[in-house]
Amino acid sequence: MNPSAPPTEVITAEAHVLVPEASRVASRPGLLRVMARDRTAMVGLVIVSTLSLAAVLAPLLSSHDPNAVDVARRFLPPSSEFPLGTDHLGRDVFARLLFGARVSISSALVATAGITAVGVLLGMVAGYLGGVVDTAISRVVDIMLALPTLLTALAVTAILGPGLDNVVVGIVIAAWPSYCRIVRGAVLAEREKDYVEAARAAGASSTRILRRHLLPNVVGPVVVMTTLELGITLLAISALSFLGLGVTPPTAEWGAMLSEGRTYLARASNMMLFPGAAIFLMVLGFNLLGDGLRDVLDPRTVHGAAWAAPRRRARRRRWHDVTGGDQALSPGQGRD
Amino acid sequence: MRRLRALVLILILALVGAACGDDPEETEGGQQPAVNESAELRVGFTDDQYVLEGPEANLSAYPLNTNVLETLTYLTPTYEVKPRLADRWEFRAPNTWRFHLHPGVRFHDGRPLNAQAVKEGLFERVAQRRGGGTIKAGPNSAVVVDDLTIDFTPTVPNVRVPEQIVHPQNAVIAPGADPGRNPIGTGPFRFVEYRPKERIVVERNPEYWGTRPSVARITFRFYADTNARLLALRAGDIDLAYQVPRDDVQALKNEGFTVLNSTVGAYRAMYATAHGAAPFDILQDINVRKAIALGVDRRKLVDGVLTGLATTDQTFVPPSSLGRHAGEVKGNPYDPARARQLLDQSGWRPGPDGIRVKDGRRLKLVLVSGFPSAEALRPTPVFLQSELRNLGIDVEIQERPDSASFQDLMEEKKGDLWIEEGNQNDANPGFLPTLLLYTGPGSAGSGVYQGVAAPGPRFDQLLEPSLTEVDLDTMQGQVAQALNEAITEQATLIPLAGIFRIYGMKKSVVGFQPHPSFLNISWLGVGVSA
Amino acid sequence: MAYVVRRLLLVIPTLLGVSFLAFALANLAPGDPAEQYLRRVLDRVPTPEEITEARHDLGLDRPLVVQFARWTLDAAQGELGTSYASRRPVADEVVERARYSLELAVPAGLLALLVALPVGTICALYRSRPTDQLVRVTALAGASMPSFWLGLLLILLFAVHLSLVPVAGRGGPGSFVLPVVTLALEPAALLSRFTRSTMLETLGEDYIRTARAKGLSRRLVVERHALRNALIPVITYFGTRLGHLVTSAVIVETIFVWPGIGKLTVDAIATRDFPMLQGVVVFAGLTFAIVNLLVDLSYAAIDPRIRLATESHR
Repeated sequence: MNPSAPPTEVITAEAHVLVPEASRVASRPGLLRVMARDRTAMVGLVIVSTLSLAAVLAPLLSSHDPNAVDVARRFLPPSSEFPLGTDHLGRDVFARLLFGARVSISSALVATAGITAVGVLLGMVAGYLGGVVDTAISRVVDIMLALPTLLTALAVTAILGPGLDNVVVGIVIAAWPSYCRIVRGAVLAEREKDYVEAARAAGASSTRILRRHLLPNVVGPVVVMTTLELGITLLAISALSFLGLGVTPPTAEWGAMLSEGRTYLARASNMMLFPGAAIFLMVLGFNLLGDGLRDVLDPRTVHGAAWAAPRRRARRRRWHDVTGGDQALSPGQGRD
Repeated sequence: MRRLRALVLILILALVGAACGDDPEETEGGQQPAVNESAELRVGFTDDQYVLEGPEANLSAYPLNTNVLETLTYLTPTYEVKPRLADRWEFRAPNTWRFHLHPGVRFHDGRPLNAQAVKEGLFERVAQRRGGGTIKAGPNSAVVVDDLTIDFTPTVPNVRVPEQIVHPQNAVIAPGADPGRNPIGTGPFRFVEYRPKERIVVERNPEYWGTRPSVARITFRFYADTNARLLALRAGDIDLAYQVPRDDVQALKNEGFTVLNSTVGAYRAMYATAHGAAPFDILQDINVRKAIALGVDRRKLVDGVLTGLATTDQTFVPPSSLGRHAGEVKGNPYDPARARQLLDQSGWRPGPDGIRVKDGRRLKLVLVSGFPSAEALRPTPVFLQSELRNLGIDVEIQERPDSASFQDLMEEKKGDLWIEEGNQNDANPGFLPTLLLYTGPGSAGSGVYQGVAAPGPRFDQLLEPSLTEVDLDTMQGQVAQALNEAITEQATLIPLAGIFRIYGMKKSVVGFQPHPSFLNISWLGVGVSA
Repeated sequence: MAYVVRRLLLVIPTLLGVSFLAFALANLAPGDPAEQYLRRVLDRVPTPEEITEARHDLGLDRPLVVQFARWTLDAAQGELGTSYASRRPVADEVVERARYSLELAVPAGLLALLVALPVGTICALYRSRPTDQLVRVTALAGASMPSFWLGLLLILLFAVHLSLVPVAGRGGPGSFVLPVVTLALEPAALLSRFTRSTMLETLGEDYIRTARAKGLSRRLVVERHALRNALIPVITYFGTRLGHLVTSAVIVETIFVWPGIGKLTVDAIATRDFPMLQGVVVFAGLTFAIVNLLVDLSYAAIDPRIRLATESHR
């Protein structure tokens, strides 16, 4: 898959539909309890926490140094001492996978945090302040979204030079705009609501309104998006790393391991199979979790409301957004 | 005494040659199987890097030489210069080379190859390049003496023209032909078709002036990815592959493929930053440089990482290009005890985590990898890191994607060690040492390599006479002495391994001569058995 | 008509922005572009005089504003400079390579559509039943699959072990199979999900419910009404995916050594061929802009409410 860009769009679409319901989200009781009943979300949670735990406990789970080179034991098949075999420098693939999890997962966390921070901040500012600020931010967003996210990330990283830090920066620069657009939409929708008007009439400051009223109401979509974004970001980081733009050797990282494994595809497929499986599982975990969270946070899909309630306008609005067209149809307009 | 030493050396070289994996002679000789005259050979090359526009246009010739175009002289697999389009040549003081062309040669379009054609199709073309190319051609450099004799006078004195003119960038193209679209040459094969990044197809030239080519047609396919190229060979998409990864040689042989390696055609070496500023000043200390040179187990590198398909001789230019003087470059043999002793002497004492410390500073070096690309050198830097750690030296690896970014960093002297793999593509062993390390009179390089690793005045004194020495043997001796100074004495240049070129092919491919320089492969005698 | 004009005009600032991004790319890059260029051309480190000369030749000694204006004007005329690596006009190379990318993108897109439409529809019809659950999870797994891993797995199995198709490179029909499948997986997964949700919404519309209430058979309702109405957004969505397929096949083309735009991008990055990288960025922006424009216009043509909404809003 072409990481990052594509799923963002669908998420854009669906998270948008969430917006009108967002005000209900914050007050929904027993989020975890509902989630516990959602099997997909639970499976996702289990996968994500297992792999994360393995990353944290890496030194306890493997007795081998992930970077210990021993050319006398290259390309060993899996055995009791080396559960996943050894690589082209005689290093333990299992140990590298565990320590690689630390690098891969933490860089995905950092990148996603960056995207969320920038996207939420600018999106809220644009949505709430409107006017020139909104126009300026929205134009930048439009231009950024006129390019495939991966290409932007690739180009930025290429300019900055290889290195995991630069990969993270490149991905944040490339991915915040779609986030920003969604948050802006959500804020626009909330802004028009009576209680915000009331707060404003009561003399509340902009910052206060943003923080106390608008932020809590965009939390729902943001949580779903962020969970899904973690998977997308992990894929993007692995992809850039696979292309040789990521970590410098000998650091273990899943994408880089896979790239090394590709060289020895026929000779030692263990070098390619396991890191790939790890990336796949982790991304799947985030996606299952995000998908489940959305089901929980979006009342329509939980209660089967979609079959009953006419959603013509919602669809049209969502639809237009997917096409990445102009901003004329703001979510606020289409509210039922 | 001297003759005896030379004899012993030749013997040793012959033995080393024989020990280098497969014997290239294996598929040659008298009892060659019958060859299919109408066969098509499919060859997998590396990335397509042809230049199609401007004075550097080189379709079919460089870096993939399809033998459509020919040069005046050519380079044998043992780095000797032999006649090709020129039967003989001579130096005429002060600065002119006279070439006598082979009579009766015709271009693929039927026009004769004569002095006028060489003037237009070689020298005047090269003169349009920036700096006049490696042979330093100017607009009035070439003078027609008679129909088959041409004089070439480079813009600056150049005593190595016959050795440098073997490079396919200096091939003769028919006057008026477009070197980027329709190369018309004199070679054993004629250009048929080119699809960028995909393939180039050539066919037998039935009127070739030399022996008849064995195959009717050759399709060269481009595989930028090494693994893809190898897999293509296995899947039968191609008959012969360039640059087979060392790690796969044994498996390929087991699967019934022929794998041939050339003699040493490239070196893998490190430059040490002897002239750096803090924090890249540690290697100003000759003891630390020598400790690194002494402390790398090259045998382990060659056997373990390079799967035995390399040599441990401490070479910077292919030994055979130094002729009988190859053994005069001694190098620093593996001696970790001596290495540790030298580090101790310089005040670097083992710290709590095993890394040496001096005045509160850790012995940490930055190793930059990136020429020709970081990928090409992997995993050698990681191996070196592990080796140097054993001496108490902490190494941080920095990879640069390509040579330009590698050299950018070097220009700023932001690194301690610089690992490279460089090829020798002509017969002038003095070319690289002069270009990269020489700082004496007549120095023409940019100074980037000199800036970090110039070995100093003694090296310059040793190398200087080679710049004007017409006699090849004497010149080889001068270069060998200079290299010994840089490598053994100053250790600003730390060779790691001599690299072979490895070619894999189906058993049906016969007559292939593995060349240490890709650029000079001859397809003339290569056939497909019937 | 006013909508069409407005929509067309909107493309201009976007393209200007893309052009600015592309221009900024090369100028933000560390190192002197003239020196980079010369190193490529000469295959050695150039002298200061050569650099000065080249800087003048390349117009790099002029003010940045002038350089940007010139670059944009040239780009508008399809003049994107000369590649450092091949020394051919960037525009020629980009167009040539785009053809190879399309060769993969079109069949991959069609394959994705062929899989996604029935799968998505079936899921919507059998909502929350085991079939639906299974397909949903499979689609999620498909969307989670790193294409670089899938590609390698396919190569390992079908090319290395079974020797059914070539490993890489563009050759006969067999060489298309693996890259097309790899490229199709993600859009197939996303389209299935999209088709499912669109179908679900369509099935909830009043007229569908009315049709059902009038006693039309479920099958007839789905075939005659629901599918047709759900198809519009799905096809339009597919259009936007096509733009993605052409421009972001970086990974797939790298793995299968396919000489398309994606491979061109990676090569340009590896060799720091900045004019080429700029060209790819401009091309990607242009492709996206055109695809989005067509999608918007066609959608507006189908659904007049959009046109009206836009006009009343402005």
